[in-house]
Amino acid sequence: MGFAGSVQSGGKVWPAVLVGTAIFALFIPARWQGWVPALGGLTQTLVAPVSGPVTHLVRWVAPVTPPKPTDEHYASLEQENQQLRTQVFAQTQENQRLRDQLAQLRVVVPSSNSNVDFLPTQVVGASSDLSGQAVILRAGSRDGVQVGDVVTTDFVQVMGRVASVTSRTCTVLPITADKAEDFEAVVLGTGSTLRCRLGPIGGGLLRGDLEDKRDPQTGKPIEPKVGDEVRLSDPTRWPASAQMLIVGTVQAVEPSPKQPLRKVVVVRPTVPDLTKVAEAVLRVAPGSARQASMGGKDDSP
Amino acid sequence: MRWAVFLLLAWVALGLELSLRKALSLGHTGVAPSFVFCVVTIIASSAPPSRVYWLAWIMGLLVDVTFMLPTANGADARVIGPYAISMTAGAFMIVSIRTLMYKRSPFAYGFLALAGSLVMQVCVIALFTLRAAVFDNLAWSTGHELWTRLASCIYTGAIMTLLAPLAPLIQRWLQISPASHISGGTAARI
Repeated sequence: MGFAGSVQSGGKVWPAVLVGTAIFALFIPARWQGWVPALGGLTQTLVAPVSGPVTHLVRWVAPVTPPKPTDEHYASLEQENQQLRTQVFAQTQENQRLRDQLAQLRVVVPSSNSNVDFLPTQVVGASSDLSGQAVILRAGSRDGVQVGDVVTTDFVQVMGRVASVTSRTCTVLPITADKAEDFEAVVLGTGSTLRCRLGPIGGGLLRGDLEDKRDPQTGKPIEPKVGDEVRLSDPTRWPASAQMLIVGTVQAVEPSPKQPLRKVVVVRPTVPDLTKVAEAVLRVAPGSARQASMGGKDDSP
Repeated sequence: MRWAVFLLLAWVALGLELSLRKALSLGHTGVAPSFVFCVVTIIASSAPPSRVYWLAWIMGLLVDVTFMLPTANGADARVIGPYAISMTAGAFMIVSIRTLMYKRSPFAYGFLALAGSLVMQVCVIALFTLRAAVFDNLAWSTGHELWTRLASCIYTGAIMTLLAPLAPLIQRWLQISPASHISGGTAARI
């Protein structure tokens, strides 16, 4: 008995449906199926009552965030310290940029407004196929979320950027996802900073070529150490609100396969797996954030 | 058949697919079970073929609309069809071999899920490889997908073995009985 022949009750409808589906599957490019993401967003919203609690339960049973100090006061101080460090690094970078512009142009350019509202929200699911690697958050356009907004975990660890938005959910592509774009970062060593360009290499890691910088006194190349902090610094591709957020820590420094005298750096985010976090914090345009899904929780950190 | 029960089952299975699946994945390998296919296996192991294909097609369509393609520029793109076709093919495989399963033991369900998901994943890989080559700019590595998805099939079979005790209950809720469409000795064996 053939496949089409075995479908008796469908009559002529079933072969037509099968052929139509095959045409969509094989011959219609994704750009001509622009209405499907809206349908997918609706489906994700409908299944959120199942996927949301299950995600939360799983993250509660097996948390992926680093173990936090048991002392609540110490933990809040630690978080405040990280936020202040991020602000200081961002301001230092902005000052340097303005100083350079002033020196070159003799004109003061108004600095970009990096003020943002923080929107804590829950992860409610992921792509149905794991090759997608995207993460779905319970906050959408009605909460002021826009495509390109920066997403963090614990307010300072950069997670990724919003790839698409529906009215109630948004999709985030983590920086460690296979298809994520490369970005520039700085390695903050003791007494020196080294620029690098990082891209995903799988396994939740990032790798990239390191700037060739030498000690002015000895002439020896400056190398980062394992454990040095790496922060995002890519003003051309990432918004001002993302600058100097934590990317991770140096896990290894290796010789470059392309140029043996140069080095590449392997970076691991402070959160072991960015695709498995339970909560995230969106950085949205000021005034647009609404209480999203963390019932009763303040918008600000 | 009770359509309300089917919709409830599809809702729960898709919810688990979007949440629990990632949690059960083996490290960063992407090897993970498919709860949607477990439901398709439970249905395909006893329902009449005509009904099985429609239900598998609907389940595949749900996976299609929630699967964000791995586009090279990170944009959200989804297409209708690959999973709908592939899941129907997987269900066809189960319908073809289900009469060979003399006893509905948990391992029989596990084997059905393994065989069906193998067919489904091979179809998915073929379709997306073709799309990546011709139409869409996808970050798609056929070799990597092949071993990841084949390992996922084994994982799905193992999960189905664990879920097998629920199968008769679900079939009763759905009101799909093996004897209603299989005649003679086969029904007696089952």
